[in-house]
Amino acid sequence: MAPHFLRSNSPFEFQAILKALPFGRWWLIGLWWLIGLLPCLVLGARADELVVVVNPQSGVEQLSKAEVINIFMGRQKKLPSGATALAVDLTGPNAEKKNFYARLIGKDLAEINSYWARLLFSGQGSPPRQAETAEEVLDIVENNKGAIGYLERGQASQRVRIVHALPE
Amino acid sequence: MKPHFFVATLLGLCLSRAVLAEPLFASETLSLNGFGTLGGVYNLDGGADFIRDISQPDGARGDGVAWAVDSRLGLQATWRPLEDFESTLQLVSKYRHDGSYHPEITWAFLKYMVTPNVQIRAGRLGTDIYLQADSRDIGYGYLWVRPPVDYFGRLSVSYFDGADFAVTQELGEGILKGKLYAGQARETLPADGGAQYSLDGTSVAGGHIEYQNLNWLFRVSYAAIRLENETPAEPLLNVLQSTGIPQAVALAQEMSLARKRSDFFGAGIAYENGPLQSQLAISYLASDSLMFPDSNSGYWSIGYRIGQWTPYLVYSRIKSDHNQRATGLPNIPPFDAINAGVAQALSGSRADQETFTLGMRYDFARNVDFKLQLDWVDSRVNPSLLWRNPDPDWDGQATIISATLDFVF
Repeated sequence: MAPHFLRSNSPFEFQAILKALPFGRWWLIGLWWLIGLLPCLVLGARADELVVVVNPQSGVEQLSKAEVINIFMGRQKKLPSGATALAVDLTGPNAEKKNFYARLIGKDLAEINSYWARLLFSGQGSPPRQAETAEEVLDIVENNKGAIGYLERGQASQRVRIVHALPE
Repeated sequence: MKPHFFVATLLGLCLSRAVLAEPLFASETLSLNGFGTLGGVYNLDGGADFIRDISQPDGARGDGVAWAVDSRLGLQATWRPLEDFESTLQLVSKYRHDGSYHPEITWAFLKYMVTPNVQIRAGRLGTDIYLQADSRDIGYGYLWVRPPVDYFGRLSVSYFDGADFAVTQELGEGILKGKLYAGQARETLPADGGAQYSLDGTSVAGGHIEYQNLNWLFRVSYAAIRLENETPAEPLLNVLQSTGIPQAVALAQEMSLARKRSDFFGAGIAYENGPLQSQLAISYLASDSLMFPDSNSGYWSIGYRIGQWTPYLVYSRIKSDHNQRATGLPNIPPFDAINAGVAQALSGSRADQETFTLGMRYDFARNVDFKLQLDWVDSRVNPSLLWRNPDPDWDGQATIISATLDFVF
């Protein structure tokens, strides 16, 4: 059903115009698509780069993607500098967390939860500490030598060190 | 003086912040978690009971939906008073050898991290014989409705009381891990005719080496199990021995389970790349007893996630060695009954089957999934170690439909 303003009794006779146009229907569908896509494009352009941050006292200058994966997946329990790693995650589900794991290892949050269920219930380790907000992540990283978290680049403060970037 | 005061105040503030941050983690010292599966299984073929593993006395037969095969509930408490010390207790209620759901302690251990790369655990531990063998109860943790029966169904020891020791080392982009464990088994298995077989006193020892990088995981493992108790068919062995005929006496010794050793060799490869996940595992069992014959088994699994849906395929296979032996007794009364008894006891411990599995995992909500699975099983032997109460004329083929709801909290 066409929206009411497109019905034949509308003063603009939309249906008649659409019928007159070649591929009339498809113009309309194309228009809906554009309207639908617009907010996505705007939001997409605004989506920030994610950065992995550590405490400046951690002795870590930079981490490779593999090192970040090993720490966040609980396979490596220390930072390359030797400090015991304290990974800080965001409580899910939210866009930053979803993007972080999607960009880091191409996994969905359900797959991450499934992975941790397997490890947790076979005594192999617990998931990273869960922080409620980006501010809490910052606070923990600023105050713990071995802490490692992730944020949008714009949220990183001067008191943390960026060691890895995850662009879109 | 003023700058010093300023610096001291700043330092004090920083320190107090650091100290204040500590209780955040201290309050996280105790955690309670759980997992569960509500599953129904329907066997389209009525010839025998489909079971998940040999700890189950009966299963899905085609006379209605069997809720017992896959349903289970687990609770876990973890206490972590210090960064390097942890204590875990896990209770699981599932359908067991005596037909009850009596909860069992499946894990109860103290863990000490000597360094971030070296850890020791002591207490009750899950048997980690094959890849994922110690997390078989956690349906939410894997793709399938249940771990492939042809590969995992034969494993009898799911936990032991003892200790393990694990070391990890960074190697290239991945992590190399070595683990050793030893202890005593405690479980009970159902046997023919309502009898039970106790694993009490059975010793378990083994280890594995594992390498995991971004996409790949390789593991080779070895475990030795030394059974303590005699087979429930012991009266039959006594009869064989009492005949005094050397061949029969020797066969009784070959059929004995007491103080017999089995060696498990396993190898597994897992590949993960974004939405794709695949696993291949093989194992070889070398046993000293005809009642637990040598066998080869393996499975290959592949799944691909599309949004919240993950369709998957599995092929699995087990084949045990021929274990029938002549008793050396003439096939005339009263010896024919002994011959028949021996043949029956030996045939019930064989397994020779393959399974094609097609399924779908649907992650529809946080920490909950729904799975639907179809299994086509072709058993070339009847009776079989992996089926209960088979009709004598069962052709060994069955189609199994399963649906489960898995959750963690």
